[in-house]
Amino acid sequence: MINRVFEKTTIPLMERLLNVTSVRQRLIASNIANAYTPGYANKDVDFEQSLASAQQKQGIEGLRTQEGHMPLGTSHSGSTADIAVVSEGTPDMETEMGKVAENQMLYTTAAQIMSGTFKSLLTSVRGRV
Amino acid sequence: MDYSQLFSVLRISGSGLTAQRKMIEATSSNIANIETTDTDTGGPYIPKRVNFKSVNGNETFGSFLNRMRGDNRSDYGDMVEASTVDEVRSPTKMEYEPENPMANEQGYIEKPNINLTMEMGNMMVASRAYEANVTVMNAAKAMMKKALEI
Repeated sequence: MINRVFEKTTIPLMERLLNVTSVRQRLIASNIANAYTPGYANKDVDFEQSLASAQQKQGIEGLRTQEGHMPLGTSHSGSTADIAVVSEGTPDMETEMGKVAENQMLYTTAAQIMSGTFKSLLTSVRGRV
Repeated sequence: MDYSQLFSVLRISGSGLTAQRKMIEATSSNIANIETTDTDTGGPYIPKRVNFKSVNGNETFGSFLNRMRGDNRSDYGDMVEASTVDEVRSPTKMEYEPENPMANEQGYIEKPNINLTMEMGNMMVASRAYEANVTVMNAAKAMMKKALEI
């Protein structure tokens, strides 16, 4: 039951966004570190595809034969294994630095929303404002 | 949450810092020895060049845990490795200095062929690239701090 409480919020999506942006930060770091490496292919995360897979259910879900059964199972495994990586072209320092700022903002936003959601949940649990 | 992703940013950017530092070291060595005509091995100073090579990150604690969990992905970014090599193929430059005790019978002295403009350019590129790596590192640190505030 408690699983459903979190699933109805934006927490699973934000969790996924945090995962995707942290992988992306790693790829950007790699691109900048290898900016002058001959033959290095620029890497980035396929954002849309990686976020879309968060909506799909993964893992095992418990079978409910009766209405009163508690729902079991998780929405997704929380793994970063299914994040799509595209690699093409050569690193461009200016674009990559822009991506650093953008990515940091995205991560901060996701963290902020997540903590805000947790605060709202806490308010409703306590039953007072 | 797979926090090891963010921690390895520090390792990747760290490898970038090391690589660019090696570049600056090679440049400073070349500029300091721009007029050096005699070395331990004899002959003029041989300029140093730095080669960059991307290496897929070594096994970390985080990647080991991921592998145990069935996450075999290793293409989440590569580190960079710099190797300093002697540029033996560059021709030396002969200068006419008959009064120099190091000069040969014809009065010529062998000097390293170092282009100061090119070295200064390399130095600027390396120092800017170093700064870029530091920026990425700071961004990753700020992100990690933010995650702790959730």
